[in-house]
Amino acid sequence: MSKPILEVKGLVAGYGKKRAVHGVDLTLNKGETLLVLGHNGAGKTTLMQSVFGLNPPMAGQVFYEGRDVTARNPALNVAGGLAFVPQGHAIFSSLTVRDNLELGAFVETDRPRIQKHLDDVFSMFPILKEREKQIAGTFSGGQKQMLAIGMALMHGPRVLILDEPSIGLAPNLVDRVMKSVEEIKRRFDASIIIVEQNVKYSLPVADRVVVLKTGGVIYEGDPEPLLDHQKLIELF
Amino acid sequence: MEYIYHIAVLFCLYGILTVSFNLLVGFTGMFALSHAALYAIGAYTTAILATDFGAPFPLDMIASVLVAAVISAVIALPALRVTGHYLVIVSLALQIIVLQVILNWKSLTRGSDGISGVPSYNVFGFAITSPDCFLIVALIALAACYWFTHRLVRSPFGRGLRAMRENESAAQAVGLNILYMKLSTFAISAALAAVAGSLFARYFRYVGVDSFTINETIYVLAMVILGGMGNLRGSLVGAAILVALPELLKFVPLPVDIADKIRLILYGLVLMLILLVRPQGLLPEPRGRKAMLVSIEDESGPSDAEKLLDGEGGRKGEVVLQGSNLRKQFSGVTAIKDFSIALKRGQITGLLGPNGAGKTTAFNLLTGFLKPTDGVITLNGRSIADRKPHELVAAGVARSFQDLRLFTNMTVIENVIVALPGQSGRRWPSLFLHPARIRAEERANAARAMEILRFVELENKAHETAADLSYAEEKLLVVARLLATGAEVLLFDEPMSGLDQTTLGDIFPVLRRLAEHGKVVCIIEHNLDVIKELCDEVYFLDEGRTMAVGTPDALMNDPELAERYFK
Amino acid sequence: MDLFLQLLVNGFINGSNYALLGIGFGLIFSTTGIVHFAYGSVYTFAAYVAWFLATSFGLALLPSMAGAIVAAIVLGVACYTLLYRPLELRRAPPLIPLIASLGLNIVLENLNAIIFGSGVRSANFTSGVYFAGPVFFTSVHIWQVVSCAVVVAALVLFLRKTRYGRAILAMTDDPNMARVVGIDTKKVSYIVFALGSAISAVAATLTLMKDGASTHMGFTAVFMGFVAVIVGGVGSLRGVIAGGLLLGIVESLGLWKISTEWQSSIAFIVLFIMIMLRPQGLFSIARR
Repeated sequence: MSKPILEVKGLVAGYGKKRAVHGVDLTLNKGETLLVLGHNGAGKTTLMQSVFGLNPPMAGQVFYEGRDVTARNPALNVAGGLAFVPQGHAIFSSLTVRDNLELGAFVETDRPRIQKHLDDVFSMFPILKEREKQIAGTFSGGQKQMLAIGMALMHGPRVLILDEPSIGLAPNLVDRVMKSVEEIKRRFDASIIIVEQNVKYSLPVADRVVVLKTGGVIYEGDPEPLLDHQKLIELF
Repeated sequence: MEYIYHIAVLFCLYGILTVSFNLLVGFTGMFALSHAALYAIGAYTTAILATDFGAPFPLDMIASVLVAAVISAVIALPALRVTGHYLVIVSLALQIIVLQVILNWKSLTRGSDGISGVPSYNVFGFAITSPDCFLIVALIALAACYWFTHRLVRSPFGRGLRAMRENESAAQAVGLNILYMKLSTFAISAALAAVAGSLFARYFRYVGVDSFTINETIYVLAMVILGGMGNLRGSLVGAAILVALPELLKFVPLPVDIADKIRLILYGLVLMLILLVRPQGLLPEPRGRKAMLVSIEDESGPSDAEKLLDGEGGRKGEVVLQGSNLRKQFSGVTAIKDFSIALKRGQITGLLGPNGAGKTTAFNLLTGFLKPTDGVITLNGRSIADRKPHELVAAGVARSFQDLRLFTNMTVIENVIVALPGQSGRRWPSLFLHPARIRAEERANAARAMEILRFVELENKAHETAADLSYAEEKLLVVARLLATGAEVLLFDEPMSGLDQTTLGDIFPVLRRLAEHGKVVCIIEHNLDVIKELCDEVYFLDEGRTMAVGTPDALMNDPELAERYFK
Repeated sequence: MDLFLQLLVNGFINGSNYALLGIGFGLIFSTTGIVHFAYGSVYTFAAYVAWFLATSFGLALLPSMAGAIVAAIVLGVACYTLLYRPLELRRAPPLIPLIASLGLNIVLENLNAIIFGSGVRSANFTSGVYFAGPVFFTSVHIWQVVSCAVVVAALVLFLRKTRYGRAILAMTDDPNMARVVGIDTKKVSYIVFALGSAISAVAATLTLMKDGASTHMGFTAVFMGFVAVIVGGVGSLRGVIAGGLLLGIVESLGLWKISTEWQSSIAFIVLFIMIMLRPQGLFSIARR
């Protein structure tokens, strides 16, 4: 059994007085890819924003590398090695690709390390190197998603959270993005959480799956059983 | 003594200004900061008519009111295109432009000299020159303006204004005519400011641009915010405090120009402090039972759904709302490529599809919030192509929003009452022409709203503020509000998302009963349990097209669709 | 023709001052979303401080300007700390900071008047007159154009080359994403309030040199800055410069056909028309 790197205990979260997540427990083990599945409104995004510190939880705790990081300022979380890729085109659309990547490394001050990460990102997504000087807002959806992931890698995160990376992408691009997950693990030695409603392309890259429904966990375990559509229809 | 009367007259003038300004910024939420300019227009109109043309009271005041109302409505038309920061800045610019016009139109306004020697009021040959006599006139005017505004805001019209302030698109979705309400408010607020202006001219017997600068608008704004936005009594309190407070400075020996500046500093400080410490003001907007226009007895009893929902004629299964070959193109992107749908009486139709399939866009087309690029939409066989959302609500098509858009600062029952159809009190002139009818309607509507709340089992929360509801209760209120519109076609955008299993169990029967009573129900849904449990027919949408139509079971057993859905 | 040229040059010179105001005001607005109306009073305060330093201590233009910059930064940062930051922490609706800043503006404007007295205060910095063909200008004019250029160049360098400069660009683009990549948005807000106020002090000192300092100079200034921002498009440096210059030129050429008493209205009418027709500005930045 490998060691947990990120643990969520009894997390309750929402906006204002509204709860969207009703006491979720999650564990991400070191070196693992955890897939969090759920349909719209299942509370996936709220959960992840809460874990990351963008929207402090109402109750529950978050432990990262054994330390309590509940409701910590996202700036500190990023500096501590967490990275979050929000849903949709999470890029600075008025800036160039290069500027976006540099901003991804905002918390990193060591130039050689930034350069190393930049090289890694470029070799994973060569299109970003080709279009280094282009304004990111003019990118296609798939390119934007690659850039968003590239940005998150620029400070060499140990935990990477991807919120619906497949949203609005054509199937071949989804495939491309999901396949990059393997490479990220290898190059950056990161543990990864993928939040998705897209099952087909995300299941194959997952080591373990959690299914959320209406703010609670209803399935946790191996990905294999979910390959059966009937099982999914039951769960969704 | 003379001095006290003078202060009291000032209070009356500012009272009228605050009450009318509160109507605009507090109740309607439109921060159009050109009130002093309209005040000026009122003052100048009276001054010019009385001085140069010898117009007697009340002709001068009537003219002031009309001129200001018309100018304000004309100004409002373009200003309505912008909101928020831009409205503030545009209106400040307008304030400056109006003053420049007054300053430069010398033949009419005598420019920077101002108009002096305005005749005072004359009653049966008796000139009202002293503050004590004028105070009577000013008090009557204040009372009349207060009464008028009070009538306006404590009415279906006023409730509509607050709903519009909370959420404009939701206000349209419950059938309110936004344009009518905004124009009316701009014009009425200006008309009342002009009453104050007209009095100003007759009292001081001099008008000059210096009395109507932006600082004056901010001064009145400070009074409104101090007293409490959305509370008329608060406005009087705010006016009283800020008129009296600087007078205390008179007891401190200071050079005149310094004292004047300290007075302005005081206003500014009060404005900042109240926003920092108590943004709702000294007297907050009435909530809970106090928000009700009529008192209602809480007769408890079982919900009489039959009575609530009866009157839906027509045959089960007939097509009521139909969209054929709809296409919608936004600059470059085609969100809906080819979508046809037929919603039938007594049925629950589901709209299913992956994210970005175009489901919400389809709703926007069917309810008039967007116009289709191509295609035809018919209601009971008649085309409804050019209808606005509020007209469609009246015709019987209403929708809810995925992000709820409740009127969060209003009570639960108000959220429902505001949506009830056929309220003659939504048109403000009837408030004064048929007060008795409006009152009777209001009683009936309050009772009906309570009935609807009982139907969704929210009656215990009727007088709570919508913002304080739990998520599940909010969803129920969305259903109640949609139901209140009385529309026969009800389109729900994800009514179940984010609810836990037990709450789902509460909403299911509500929707089912609606269909059983002959309503036409359509829901967008991601939760396959819900689709299976609830829907008679399901449309599967992807990439802006209808991919399949059928029963939930048939669709879910179609491997290709499963493939698409779970991509 | 000579008159036209002269007006064009005058417009360009005034426009560079408007551009400066727009840059400072727009930097704060586009980064924090706060319509800092009291910017006008900070500007007035800076002008008075420069006047005080020049007349009481006989300082030359640049040292006076430096003093004004320090004073403006202190006041500007105080505005954020004491008013806007608490409002942000209370999650006040977006219009509230603007309304509060109208109050703050009145307070500061009148404090300025009490401290420095009303009436025009002028400082006698040495000034020369030059001719280029038929066109006449003074050393103040040169100062205005040069400082605008220097400020723009320095700002561009700062924004492009430094860490926090890029953080400002990031926050202007998308404050939520800025938090996601680990930028301390509070710190960036302090930085833009300091920078914006400093820039206002440059414009203020030059206006002092040209027309003197007066109580109500701030109100027009903040409006001109706002108009430049709106005309150019929020968040676009190039746009603001173009907007400021355009405003100056339109205002100046307006004199040709429109009588002088309407000159001060031109900017407001431009603002009105712009917001009605093209609220996103002429050079709005690429958004999603």
